[in-house]
Amino acid sequence: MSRREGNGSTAVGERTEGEEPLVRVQGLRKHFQLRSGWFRRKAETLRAVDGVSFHLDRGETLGLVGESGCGKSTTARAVLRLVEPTAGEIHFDGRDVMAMEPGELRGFRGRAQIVFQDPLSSLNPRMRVGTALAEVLKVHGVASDTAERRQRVRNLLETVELAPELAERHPHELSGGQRQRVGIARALAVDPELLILDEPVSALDVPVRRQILGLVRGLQREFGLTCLFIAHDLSVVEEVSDRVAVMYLGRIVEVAPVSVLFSRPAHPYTRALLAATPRPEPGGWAGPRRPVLEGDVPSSVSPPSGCPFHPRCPHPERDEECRRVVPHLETKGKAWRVACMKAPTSPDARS
Amino acid sequence: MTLLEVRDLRTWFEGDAGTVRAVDGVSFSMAEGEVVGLVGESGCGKTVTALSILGLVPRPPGRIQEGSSIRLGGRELVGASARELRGIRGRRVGMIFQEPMSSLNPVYTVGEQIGEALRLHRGVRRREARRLSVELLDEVGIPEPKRRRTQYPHELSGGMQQRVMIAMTLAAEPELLIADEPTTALDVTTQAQILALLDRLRRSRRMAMLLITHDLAVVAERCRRVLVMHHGRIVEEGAVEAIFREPRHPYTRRLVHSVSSPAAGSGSPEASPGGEPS
Repeated sequence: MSRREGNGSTAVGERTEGEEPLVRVQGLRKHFQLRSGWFRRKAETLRAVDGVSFHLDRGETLGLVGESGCGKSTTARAVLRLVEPTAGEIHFDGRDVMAMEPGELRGFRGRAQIVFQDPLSSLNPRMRVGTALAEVLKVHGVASDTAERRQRVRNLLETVELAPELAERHPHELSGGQRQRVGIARALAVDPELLILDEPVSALDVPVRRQILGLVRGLQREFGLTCLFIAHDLSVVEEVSDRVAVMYLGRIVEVAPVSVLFSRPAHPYTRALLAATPRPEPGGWAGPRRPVLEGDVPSSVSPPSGCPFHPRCPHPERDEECRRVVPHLETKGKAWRVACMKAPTSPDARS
Repeated sequence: MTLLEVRDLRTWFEGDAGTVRAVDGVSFSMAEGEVVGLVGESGCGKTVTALSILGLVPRPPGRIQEGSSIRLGGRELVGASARELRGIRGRRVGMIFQEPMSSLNPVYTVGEQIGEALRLHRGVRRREARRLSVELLDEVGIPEPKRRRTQYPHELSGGMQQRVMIAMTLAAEPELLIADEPTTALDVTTQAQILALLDRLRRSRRMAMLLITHDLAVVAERCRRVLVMHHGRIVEEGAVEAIFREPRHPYTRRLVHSVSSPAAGSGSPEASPGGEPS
């Protein structure tokens, strides 16, 4: 049974009236102060995340894509307050995360977990896999005695499709795919409602990547997990997401249901990203080269005025307005919002 | 005309845990000006194959076994003297790597490094080297090449660093360019820029290119012929179209299946990840 069919006939990402989303993020900012120059007297501000708003409905997966430095990982960490946001509101299950005291925050992090790109860096190299997982159970008070914990560890390994013998191994004795499974098991140990996956498959070979994505999809269905899935690779996000948000220079430039984003992207940057992604279809060899975005992403220290994308934007109608006015996310269709002044905003516009 | 002919290449490494047969009987050939993709997972022996061609296998522990043959333009490279190899490595065969920063010297400017390559391989004088390095930077699409020439590698973005690496490699006017995962560390839009650049350069310079990657999609887009490598061997070889249409070897089938994601069928809303491959 597919996850979508399981959701009934409601369109993906559409909210049933009155139901509060599990996560609501409003105007999130994270600025870093940099010091440079002679005696480090020159202060600069790096705007890693610069006004990001989104929500996550219960049981849905939002894919967050963008190129390195666009602020997607910082966004993920800020949602969990692993980095302290500079400004903005975060609500989890109706509770104000920004106002949480340390004790409350610990409880929150038991309900919201994160999986990182490199599982080795989040596993103690001197601890056997089983011990490491048992440790998580102990810290979060999930299982009281050793026997129960041992059983839970077995179950966890089974959930992520790992043989129970692997509990006796050290992290370095595992393959990349096995380590990432352990990373996911570690996150699942506390039965979270929200799972943030930060580039979980970027370091893996393609066939292994497919297996891990298959596992993630299975978990979404089995536990009804709400996920924020971060990746730089659009094809990866396409496979696991209900909706996708595209980030550029610290802002969301487009958010749409996955089928809409991939078939009718509206923002010029989304289009460029899609065009740049190599497709596993032979025959491009002699054909015309697809349009390539010129230049590099500007620095988040001195972002361009107006629309952050305007210096590289290939849109034919790009003009003075783009250089002056910062575009906001405007509704373009059902659950579809675009931050581009040149994208038509009529609800049923087809491109 | 055949440019490169590799016959029964076996490059083994001696370790505490025994012999690792990184490359174990690889044979293929490349014509002048041809682009060939070499695809496989990490650890399959792709890079060791490339290093063997360049005579860069560290010895010990590595060793190209008896009976292996690598011929470039008819000349045997296995067993060639260090001096002979120096005339080939970087000169007739250029190589670019995944991490440009690890191949660029952080304490010299971009211009000095390209200039050195020019003086070494082409024997030009300092002044001429300065002029040519600006030309090369321009050719690889670096804006304001005169100013960039005086910058250090860390002042450039990842894409720019890779362009500088390519310029350095081109300085020697190689006949064969080996590009080992040249875009793996880059973002997609930068990757598209670099792949388009390599494509343009190899056409304008009539250079042969061996494109090594783990990404079958990159190969599909840029190569006509592909070699699929698995466990130190080439398990399948053929035209890209044929390999996609009817992969014969089980490993190739797995590889092709793993990339034929719903992305390939995007366009229709039904192309959702609903159907699970088990």
